[in-house]
Amino acid sequence: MSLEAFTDESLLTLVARGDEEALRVLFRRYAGSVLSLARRMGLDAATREDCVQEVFGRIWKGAGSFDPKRTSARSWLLAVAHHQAVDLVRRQAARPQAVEPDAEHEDEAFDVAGPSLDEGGALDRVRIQKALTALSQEERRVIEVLYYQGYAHGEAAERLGIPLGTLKTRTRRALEKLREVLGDA
Amino acid sequence: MTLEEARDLLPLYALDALLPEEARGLEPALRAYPELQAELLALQSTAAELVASLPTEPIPQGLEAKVMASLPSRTEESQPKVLPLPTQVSTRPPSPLRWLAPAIAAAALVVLAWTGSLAWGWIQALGNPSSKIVTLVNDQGGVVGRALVRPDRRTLLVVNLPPPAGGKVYQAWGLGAGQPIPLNTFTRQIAVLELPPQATALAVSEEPAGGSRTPTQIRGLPQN
Repeated sequence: MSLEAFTDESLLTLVARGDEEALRVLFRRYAGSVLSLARRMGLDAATREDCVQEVFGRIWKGAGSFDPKRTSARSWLLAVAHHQAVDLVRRQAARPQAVEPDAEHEDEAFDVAGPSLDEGGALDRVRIQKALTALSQEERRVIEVLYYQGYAHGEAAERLGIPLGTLKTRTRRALEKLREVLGDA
Repeated sequence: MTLEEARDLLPLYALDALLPEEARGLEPALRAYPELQAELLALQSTAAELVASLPTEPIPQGLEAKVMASLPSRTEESQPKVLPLPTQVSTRPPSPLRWLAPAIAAAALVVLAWTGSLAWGWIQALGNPSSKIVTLVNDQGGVVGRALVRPDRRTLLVVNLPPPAGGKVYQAWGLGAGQPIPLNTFTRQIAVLELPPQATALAVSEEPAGGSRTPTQIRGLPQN
């Protein structure tokens, strides 16, 4: 039986039962995104592959804890990926060169569409990149440093030169704005 | 930790921006204040979109095999379970007593009360050597239903599942060589359906009202 048509939720259910084929399908759907996130977070090629390996190991072991009543499979899978990437970034202190893009190149930092994308993915990216432009420069910096560079909040506040309270406020505002814009899109 | 203190940390938690010990400190508060769950899930869902903003990288050759080869082994009770082939559904020789699995017998009685003489066909099917019984199990391996498949492909499906969540339905699926075949939706514990010729087994999922074209949340798969 082909599992290609199964939803992510169904595949995770099968993975929780120990179905390796279901994990393979999830790998083909998400490994490229995990690699991309790992690259964006400044990991080198070998570590990016390690990251993928650890992410799918976690999914294999932890699929039973996924609860479709609480969150979507996609969010769960990508959260596992980000969590693992942050672990690696912090473990290896592998930081991207710039804390923030300079003003001239700021838009490019979020404009990362590539040529080899599937159509659906490209549409998703356009939608999300458009949403990111709704953020103020300060809000984008907060997302950049916390999410894409993997800094913990204390260190991030220090690097950005802002009080922790301000960082928290900007983070919340940035996520809420994104959610609102993505919801309208 | 107060509700407001916990709420204050949610965006950072959603972005993995807390230190591990801080995250562990927040988790009891999340359990204590269930009202924060929806807010956290919305934030996490938005955070996940940030990954989707990146271009997908090509997957290096051999990485899939490397990842699959490195999977930690499962414990005995969670060994990989291969989806059953049709012949695994039931190929036992006909013994009416062996066919009278308790769930099916109980179902037949319910059907008898429900449809009167129509049930007689199902009771006869229990003794028919060409009929098959499919046992459905959940992801923990617990039995959640059985189906009696008659030689003419008419199928009596009995599930032991709670009523579907508000506005949702259960949906049966025919499983064969290709994609799952969407079959009837139902909300009660009993459904009668027609198993398509190309389907060799069946499954049950929970779906939005009206059913789906592909399964969303699997509730029962054929037992090995």
